[in-house]
Amino acid sequence: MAVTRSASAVADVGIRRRRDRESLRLPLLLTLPALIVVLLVIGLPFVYSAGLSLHRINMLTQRWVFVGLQNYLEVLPDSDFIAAFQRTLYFAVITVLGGLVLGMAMALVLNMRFPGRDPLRSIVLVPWAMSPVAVGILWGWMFNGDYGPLNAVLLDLGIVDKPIHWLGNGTVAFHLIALVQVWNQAPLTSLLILAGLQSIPENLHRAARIDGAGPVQRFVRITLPWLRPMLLLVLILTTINSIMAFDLFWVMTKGGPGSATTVFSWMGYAYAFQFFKFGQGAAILYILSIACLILAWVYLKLLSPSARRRPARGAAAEAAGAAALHIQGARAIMSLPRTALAQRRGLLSGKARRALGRVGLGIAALLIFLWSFGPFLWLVIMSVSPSADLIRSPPSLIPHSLTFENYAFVLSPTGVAGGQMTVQATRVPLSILNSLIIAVAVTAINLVLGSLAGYAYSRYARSRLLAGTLWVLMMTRMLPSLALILPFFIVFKTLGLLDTRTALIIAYCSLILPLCIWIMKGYFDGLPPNLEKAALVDGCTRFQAIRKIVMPVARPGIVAAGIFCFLVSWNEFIFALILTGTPQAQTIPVIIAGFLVQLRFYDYGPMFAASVLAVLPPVIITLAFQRYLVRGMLSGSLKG
Amino acid sequence: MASVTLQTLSKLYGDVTAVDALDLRITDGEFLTLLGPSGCGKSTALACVAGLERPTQGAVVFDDRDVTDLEPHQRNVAMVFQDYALYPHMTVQQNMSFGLKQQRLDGATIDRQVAGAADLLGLGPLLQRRPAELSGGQRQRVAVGRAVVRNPAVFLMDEPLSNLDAALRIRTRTEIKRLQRELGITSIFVTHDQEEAMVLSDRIAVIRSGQLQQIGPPMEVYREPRNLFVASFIGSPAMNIVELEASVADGAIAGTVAGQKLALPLAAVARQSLPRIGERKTLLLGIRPTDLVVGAARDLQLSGSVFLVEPVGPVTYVDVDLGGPTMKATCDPDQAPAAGDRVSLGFSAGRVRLFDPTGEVRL
Repeated sequence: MAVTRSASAVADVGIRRRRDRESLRLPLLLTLPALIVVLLVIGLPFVYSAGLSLHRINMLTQRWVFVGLQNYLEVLPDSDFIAAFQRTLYFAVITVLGGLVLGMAMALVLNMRFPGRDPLRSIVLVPWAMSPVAVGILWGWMFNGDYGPLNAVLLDLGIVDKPIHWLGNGTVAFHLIALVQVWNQAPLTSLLILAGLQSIPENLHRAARIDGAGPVQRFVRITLPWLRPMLLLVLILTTINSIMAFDLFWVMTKGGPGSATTVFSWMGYAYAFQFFKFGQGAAILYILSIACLILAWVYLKLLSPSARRRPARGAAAEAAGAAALHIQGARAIMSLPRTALAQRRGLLSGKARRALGRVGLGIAALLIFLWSFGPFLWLVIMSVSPSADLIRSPPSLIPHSLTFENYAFVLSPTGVAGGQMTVQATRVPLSILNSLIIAVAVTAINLVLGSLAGYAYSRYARSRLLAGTLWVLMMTRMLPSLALILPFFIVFKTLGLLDTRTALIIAYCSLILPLCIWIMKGYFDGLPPNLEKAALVDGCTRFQAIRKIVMPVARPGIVAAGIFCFLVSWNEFIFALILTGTPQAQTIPVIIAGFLVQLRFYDYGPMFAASVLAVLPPVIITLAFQRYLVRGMLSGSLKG
Repeated sequence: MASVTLQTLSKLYGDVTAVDALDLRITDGEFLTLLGPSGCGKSTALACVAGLERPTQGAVVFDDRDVTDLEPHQRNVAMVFQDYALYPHMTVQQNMSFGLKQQRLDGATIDRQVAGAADLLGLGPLLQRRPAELSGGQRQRVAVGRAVVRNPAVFLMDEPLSNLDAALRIRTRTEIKRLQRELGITSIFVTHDQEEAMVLSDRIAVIRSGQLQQIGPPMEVYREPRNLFVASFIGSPAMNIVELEASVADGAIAGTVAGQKLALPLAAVARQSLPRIGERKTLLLGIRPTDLVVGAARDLQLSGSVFLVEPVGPVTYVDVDLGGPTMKATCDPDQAPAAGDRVSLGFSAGRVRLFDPTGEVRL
């Protein structure tokens, strides 16, 4: 019977095809704008840089000579290249592991109940909200060999008798940058893990406690497995961030001393933009891209074998239904022997253990506060110190007086009477305006494109076409942005777009759009699909249902994605550095970094004031919307 | 108001057949329930009626209008979802008027309709609240209110009661039945709860693996199940099914259950089934626990020892070991036996249902 029926169904396959096509029209319409943008700002540049890597280009004559794989062959066996490769790998391993351990620890503490937990959850995000350039300036100054606060503390305490040149020693400098990278990245890790921790059903831990599992066992056997998809996302994000880390190296060491901190990204940059060997630079960056893709693939294989498992449907449910049809046979008598209870004794009584736990928790919370907020606070203090105080010799921690003259320098372009004035300080106001225009435009564009595409990817995940394009989109996240800069530079130069805000807005879409789509897709996954079905039944068209019901309900996710868009574009440095040349389009990170190029003693104060202005908007936004971030990420990434 | 017809409706997801050539006709004003275990395709069939899913094959017809390729908003249907799907960013009032606004009605009409529906369901005091501020039962009533406010041609309900606690569920189902009868809306109700289906429906359609098993008024489906699946799915506690060794001899069906002899009249099976029993065959005997009474003097008797006693209030169920198979029977709570007692079970031949174990069909 069933056989003949399905046969007739097959005969009607033509009708089915037609209807399937119809039902895909909307998702294709929704994803198309985003896909076109991605193709233009990621796909084409990437192909272009592949082409570059096969040529030798003379910048003066604009002549391209095809050299095949020669660039690769020259670069690969180079001992500098191998050393940089090892450094990059080592840097990635220690920063990813360090960030993971620290982020996990902070998330575990922040997941417990204690007074002041909610503000601390916001404060912990401060280092992540700060732009890497400002972070580099802040920490670079901390470790400054002549005037740095670290030396000041050691001198004040009498531990050393003359300042130490921390960044002058290659090994020390390398590890200090790694430390700063961890400081900057760990908050993201802890945010994601915290979102994961909050999604663990409470009864899971209760059941484990009744089964006799202690805290450590529960962490290993319950918490970690639950966090696995989240950890996968964390590992991919932080690994890519570590491999691509560039801003910190630029600000703190410029690859030196010697080549002690020359990692891959710095090497590619140096080849392309300092030595103008575009072909070889592209080759280096291409190798880096491929390495990143392989790594991402390895992570996926390693951590998510269970992700392919699908909920039982159809056949299995059918079997369960049939089992209900049981025919009453003979009765079996049930019996089970009782098992012995394990006796465990703690070293301390329950009361002592709880008291100790409270003290430990308090100390941990205090340490997290100091670690996250201390450096930021220090930056603010330095920005209100007179420049002369900052460069006292021997250095000392305590400023003589507090002043707002640094802010006056950078905020009033006409200069301040009686103050020594630098050109760089006068550029700050315009650069902040540039940053703002660019960040707002980028956020608006990406939210519109990203939420429409994210909706389609969430609701039509069954379509093979959509699943495929989504996979490609996610893979583009693994590409180092440096690899895209070279083609952007050349294309914008041809189009006359170099040194415009438009150029940066276009370029930033390549960094942000895939991530934005991913966050939005995750958020829509968490919304019940019956919501828009109800709207359809209530008389909406499919598009109206999205506009009137889905988007308003998805506001927390949209806000979270918006914060990401804003932060990334506000803080971005290297695109802005290379694609702009004059103050008319330069953004605040470029201007701050510019202070470092020709630093005179009276520039220190304004530089820190500018840094504070640069980190204030993202920090305030993060503090204000922390709740949205956790909620937005929560439904988002668990399905990773 | 409208009649709804499903014509050989099929829905495939890849290779999985969710709905398999379903033919149904729901008359104007009728309350029809699609009943079946979870995953049997009943919700998919409902979604096809709503227009939320496109059938792979077949047609959906409202009155004489083929609506198969129409969008939901072109069909004038209303639906209550299992999770209610109330719009969280809107108040109760806004939730209920949303559909009316989509129809571009004037404000006065909208207010009148909402007030009317709120009145019917006692939602008046809740109109300014948001869904998050409502209890589960209140949310359910808002979902029903949002659906009936437009007085739609067809009213669809997808397990609307399954998220309520037991007492509220019984109260709400009475409310739904009253509402449907008084408004006279053609309704299709999906549930896996056979009792809900019995109470609410004019007719029940029992579905298994996407295929229609039987359709009829509740008591007909209960009394005259067409196959073993319907027999065991309808009725709680479930029908006892035990093996019966049977042969036709001397104008009766002579059988044994666990070594105990039973003489069933030929009328226990349909006439055309008699030759299929023939000389000697293993059949399945079905008898509902409520028809199997401890100590009753009826035309058929079985005996065994009690091993569990389950008082439910009005009656007490006892599980009896027949010396092999077990059966659930009913007894007067005041004369309930204790575990270990030997009891005799009386039942009448008119309530016995026989099934062929190979095709699982009624004989």
